[in-house]
Amino acid sequence: MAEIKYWEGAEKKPTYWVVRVQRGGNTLSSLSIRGVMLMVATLGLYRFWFVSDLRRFFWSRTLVDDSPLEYTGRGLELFVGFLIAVLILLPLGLGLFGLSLISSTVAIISNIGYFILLTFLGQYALYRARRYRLNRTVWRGLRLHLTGSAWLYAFKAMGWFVLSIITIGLAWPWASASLERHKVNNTRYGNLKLHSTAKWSDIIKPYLLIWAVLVFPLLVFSAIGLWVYTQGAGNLQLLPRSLQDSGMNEAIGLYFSTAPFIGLILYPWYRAVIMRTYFSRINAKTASLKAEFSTGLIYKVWIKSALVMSLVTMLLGLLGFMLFTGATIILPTAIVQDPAFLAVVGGIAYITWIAVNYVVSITIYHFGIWFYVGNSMLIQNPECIEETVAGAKDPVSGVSEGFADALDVGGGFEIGL
Amino acid sequence: MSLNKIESVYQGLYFDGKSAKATKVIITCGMLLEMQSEDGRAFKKWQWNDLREEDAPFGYFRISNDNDNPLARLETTNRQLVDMIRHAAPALEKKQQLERSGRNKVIALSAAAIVSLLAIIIYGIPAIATRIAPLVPLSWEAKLGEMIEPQIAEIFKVKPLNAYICSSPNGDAAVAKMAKMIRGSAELPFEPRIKVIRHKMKNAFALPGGTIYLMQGLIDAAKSSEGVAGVLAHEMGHVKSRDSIRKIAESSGRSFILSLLLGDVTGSTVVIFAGEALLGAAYSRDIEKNADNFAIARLNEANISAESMIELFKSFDKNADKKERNLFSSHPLTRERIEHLRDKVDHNKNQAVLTKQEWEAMRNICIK
Repeated sequence: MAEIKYWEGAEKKPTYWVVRVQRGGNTLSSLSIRGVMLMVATLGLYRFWFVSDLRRFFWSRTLVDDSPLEYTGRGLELFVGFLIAVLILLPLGLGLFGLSLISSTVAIISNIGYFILLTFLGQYALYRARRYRLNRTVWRGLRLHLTGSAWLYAFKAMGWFVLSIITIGLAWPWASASLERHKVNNTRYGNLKLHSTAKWSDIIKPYLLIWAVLVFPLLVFSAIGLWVYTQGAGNLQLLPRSLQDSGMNEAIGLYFSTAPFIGLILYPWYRAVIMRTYFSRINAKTASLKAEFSTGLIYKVWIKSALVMSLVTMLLGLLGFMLFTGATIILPTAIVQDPAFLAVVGGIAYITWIAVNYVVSITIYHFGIWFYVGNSMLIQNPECIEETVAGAKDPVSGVSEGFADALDVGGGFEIGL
Repeated sequence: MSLNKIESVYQGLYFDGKSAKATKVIITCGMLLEMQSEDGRAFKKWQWNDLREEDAPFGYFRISNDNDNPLARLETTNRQLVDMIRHAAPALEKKQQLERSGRNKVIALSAAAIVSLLAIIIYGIPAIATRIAPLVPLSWEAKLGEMIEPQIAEIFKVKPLNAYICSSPNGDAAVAKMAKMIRGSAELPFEPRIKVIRHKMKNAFALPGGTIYLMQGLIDAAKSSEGVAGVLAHEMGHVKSRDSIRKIAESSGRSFILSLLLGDVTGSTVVIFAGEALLGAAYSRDIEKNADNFAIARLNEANISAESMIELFKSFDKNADKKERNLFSSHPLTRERIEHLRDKVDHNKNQAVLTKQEWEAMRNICIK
């Protein structure tokens, strides 16, 4: 790379900053392969260090106005945070288990309660995990922050979930935009407040299409099914002739045979619209973020990931088949036919497959999305950002993310912001 | 080349960690790393030993100073300057090595942690479960049994009758007689309730709370009532030592630890399930052995020969006489276990459990 002459071109002030993401290349591949192998070897305990390494890589390859981001989080603090979170959650789980033994009614109530509590705590944990990740993100010597109460966010999210269920999913665009605004409006860069103008109308179009094609038919089928069940305990003959003749069964068959594919085709579009509009709705004082990537790029990443994964699966299958055939020739039949042998071989094959797919998902899928979305970003009218000074907050602890990992809500393994 | 004499001029950006403003600096490498601002004013002096290399993208170099603001950074893209700084500050390399060896320590430690966790899973959890089981209130165990019973019904009920429990006046009386005789003076935490399930499977099992299920297939396979009596005694052994509670405590503990270990990693549930099956089976060998011992003691007290029970056990599994061990089998009928039983058989016992008529009634309990 050519040296940047910081002195030159200083006079003409551009009205926007460019975000650049360098290609991952072999460094990312070797980092992922090594990390996944160590994860297998340590039965997953290495994940805290692995995800820290990945974030350090993703962040440091992302340059805003030629200054790279920096991730200052470390694996050890995630690990300690996880242990503390487990110590806090353990008595809760045990207590609820004990409660469920009192009587079967209590058990049902406590199971439902547990599910609701987990969803609630999950939202709480996701918010705190986000706080940790932002807090460990440094650009030009200043940290990002997430202010606000994680409990408040969790309550808000639960309220929106309930409303979305009551409205058979139709309230979701409002929920999504509201939660996005909550997250962004609490985000700070140094003392600079970020602000989001995300609206329900940003995502209504792809959401409604997905809803109409995938959710609505399911609701119709369930309604008819419920009606039939209450009328005649599952006797389809009781259905009015008109309904029977209208090809109800064919419609159900068509739905279930095509829905997964339609979902796969529509989902990347939905994700692309969400990312593009939500990112472009972020502003701070006079500055505003733009992420004008084309949906086609997201499809490209999805298709590439899918192709590589199927190719890898086929190659692994072939390799496994050859190895297994070889083993059956060399080893005595008593061993080959032993279920334990088959279980061990199957286990190894499965873990290998998961590990390889994991590498593919990091290097091609996650980094691909990060690459194209990042490279499309612009910050317009950025002058005010230069005036930012450090905020007053201290670094937050790794417990923030520990909860997300201990609750298995996924935030624990989030590479991106 | 002596660094003291080289006074080259390079450009970089300094961030003070307090504001987002970049300061353009001219860097001179001498006794210290010196930064001058554009107007030539001495701006910062950094000791070579205090420098630390930070993550940087390709083509960039970024350092911090242990004695400056932790977020203060000097960035440059000049390769020559980077080489000079590396040369002048051997601490950079050392600190990175330190971090790497710290990482290796972590890997070694987690390997040790895995070994100890596995030891806890294999030896610790069963030991804890054995101690916890007697502490669980009997009422809880009874409730748990009541909760499981509808699920058993769900599994075995045959449409359209829904009658999966076999019952006939004479058959019930025979079962009751057998149970009373086998139980003898043994103290059980629960009054055993014995039910016969209409199913071909050759099996018997005990639920929490003392309900014992005998399956029709088992009664059909038995050559005499003494064999069924032996199996019944074995199941009473499970009731006596509250093995179902032990197993529940154990498997919850195990899957909890395994799921913590594996965390969010995709597919972990399958791994947990497989691990559960493997470890669960390994431990149940001990549980089964204890129940066998209990059964032998009951049979001996009632003066009944255990020979029929062994024959019946052997007929469960056509591989019983083979040497290979099946890792996933929860009733591991290894030669070892049968030999263990054989050693304890008292050949002088000859009391019959049921009369011919009673045995017939029991065999026909499922015939309508």
